[in-house]
Amino acid sequence: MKSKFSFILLLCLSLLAGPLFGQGAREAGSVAKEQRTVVDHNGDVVSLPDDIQRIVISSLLPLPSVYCLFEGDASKLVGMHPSSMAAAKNSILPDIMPDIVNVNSSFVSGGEMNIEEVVKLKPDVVFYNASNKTEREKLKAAGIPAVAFSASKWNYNVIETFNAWVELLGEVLQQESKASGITEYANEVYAFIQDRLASAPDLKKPKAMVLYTNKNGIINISGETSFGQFWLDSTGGENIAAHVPGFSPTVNMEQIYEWNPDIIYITNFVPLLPEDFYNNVIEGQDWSHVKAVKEGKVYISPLGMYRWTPPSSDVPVALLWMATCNQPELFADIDIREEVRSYYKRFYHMDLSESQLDRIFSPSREAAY
Amino acid sequence: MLNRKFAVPLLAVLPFVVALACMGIGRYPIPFVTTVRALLSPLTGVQVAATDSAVLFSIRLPRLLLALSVGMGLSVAGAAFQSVFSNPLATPDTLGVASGASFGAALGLILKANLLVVQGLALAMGILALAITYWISRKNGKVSIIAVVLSGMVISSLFQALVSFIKVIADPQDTLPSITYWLMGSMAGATYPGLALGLPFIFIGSLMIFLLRWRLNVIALSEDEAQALGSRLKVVRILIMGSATLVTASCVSMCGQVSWIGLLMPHVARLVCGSDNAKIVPVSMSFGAVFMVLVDTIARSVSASEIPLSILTAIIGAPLFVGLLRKMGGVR
Repeated sequence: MKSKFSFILLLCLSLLAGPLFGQGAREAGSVAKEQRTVVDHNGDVVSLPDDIQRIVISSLLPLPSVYCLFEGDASKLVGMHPSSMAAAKNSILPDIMPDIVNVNSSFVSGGEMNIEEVVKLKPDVVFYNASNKTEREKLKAAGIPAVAFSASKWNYNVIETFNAWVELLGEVLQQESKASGITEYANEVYAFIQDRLASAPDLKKPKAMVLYTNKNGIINISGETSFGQFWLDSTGGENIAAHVPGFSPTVNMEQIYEWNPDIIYITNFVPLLPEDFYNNVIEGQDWSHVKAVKEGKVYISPLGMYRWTPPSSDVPVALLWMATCNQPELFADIDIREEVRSYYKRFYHMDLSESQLDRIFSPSREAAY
Repeated sequence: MLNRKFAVPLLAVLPFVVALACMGIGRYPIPFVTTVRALLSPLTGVQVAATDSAVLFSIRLPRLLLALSVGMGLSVAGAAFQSVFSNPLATPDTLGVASGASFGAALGLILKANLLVVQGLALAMGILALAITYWISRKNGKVSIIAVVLSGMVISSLFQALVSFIKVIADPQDTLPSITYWLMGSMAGATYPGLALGLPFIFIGSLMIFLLRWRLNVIALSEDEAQALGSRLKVVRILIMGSATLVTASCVSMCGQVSWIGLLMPHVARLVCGSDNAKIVPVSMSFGAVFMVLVDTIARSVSASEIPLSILTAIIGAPLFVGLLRKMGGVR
């Protein structure tokens, strides 16, 4: 009887205490920090503290890499998505920022963000994927300033998307990028490639396929509205699935035979390597009839500061790389390893060794997980 | 109705005729004459282009064989369960078999096992689900139908929860999409080794139900009435449930959960040929095979991107069923 009474009393107290103390904390916060606002990619007006010391990037996988190069180090990053971490660990990023591998990524499991784990990280601001409405609501409810970054607002134009991210980072963090000038250089490279493609008499565009997943007989490739479409359009290739709606539609083997691509690009989202195609060892699929495989034109997408398929700070060299794969004769004068070496020197102040270059151009299977 | 003399051979031949016609349909264009020549090439020894022969024999043929067997299997299992439980809403999943098999497959996928291991795990878990259901419903050596249905529901939701749990811990980039797609059903992964592992179970189970089809009428009677007719009935009932389980688990292990067909086809058969189970079983088998072949052909050839099977079985199956229902003047 007595224990029952004290339990009820405790319950009442705790119910009362919650709003009381919560109120106090909120008021103290609003007095201590000056309010300034930014408009994010969802059009939300977000109030931000002046001094940002702790940042969590809960979704939008390439953003941690872009952020780190913008900031120049990873010290303020206190949380990131596990798949961003998988890419980071296999990328070149830890070579200049070793502490990135220690960032917490346990607040996301099964693709779902645990909001209380995020609160525990005490972020001053959270960056998230603009299309993730659930995270938007959760963060709003928790009262954490949350800035949305969009990957799809610029029609999968990787240069514009990357530029929009850098601009929004600048507004939020109130500083210049430590790796400034990447967008300008990307535009230069883009213009250079377009000029050369336009100058080539009777240019023949190879039919290319960008492979996203291939598991248990289910194949997904870049469709009509995707980064793959933009990459191929801007580097002298033709997407075989240019008229298939969606980002990564599911297609079958027979359809691939019918398209018979000249080139296959393997993204870093699928744990396959070109050898798997040449040796025809993919379970239940016979790739030996596909032209790209017969002619030895299966390329794995490089992994530099991030995977080269979504927007990243490596966009300019990624454009050059794909141009040399699609139009090898036209871009015969481009030494892509040398271009990457000088690019890393210029923008990241980093001298790449031969073995680092090898790692960029032949990423491991593990990078896909 | 058709004369019985014609009906039997027609039902037996129809699925194969339809499948043969579907051999000529797909995303990779092969002219009709080439298809016929290629199909006859093992007999005539005519040379066929390597790609044509790969499309016909390595892609379309295993897929059609899978569709034929799964369509037949799920329909006959549905018919068996509906009469064993005297419940028109019974499906191949009533005993938790399909959920168990799904869990086995999801487990295999998350462990990144190869396709045959995934299939084996699915089969094993489906049979385990039945064993648990049977064990729960057994009391003092007696098994009542109500207890079987109830414990089947419990086991089914338990395994569904386990599948959801696996989805929660699966890597959203890599494993989750393949689990999700697989649960919606797809025959895109059909291979000969996979068929060799799965088809024997479907055939043995279906044959068993086919041979026992006369007994289904007796089983459909109420328990007291049936008991009065003889005690061997218990054995027959277990044999039929076991066979239907084997068929269902094997189907799910090869192509994921294809919904609707196991519920729908026995009813279509009932609308066409009345309530005699001796007729319903073969008619369901034939119609189910035809329906599945047609649906999978649509799934793989209508657009460049594949359409998940369960979406199509419902979208095509529902209006088909409604049409039949109205034409035949209600469920008999």
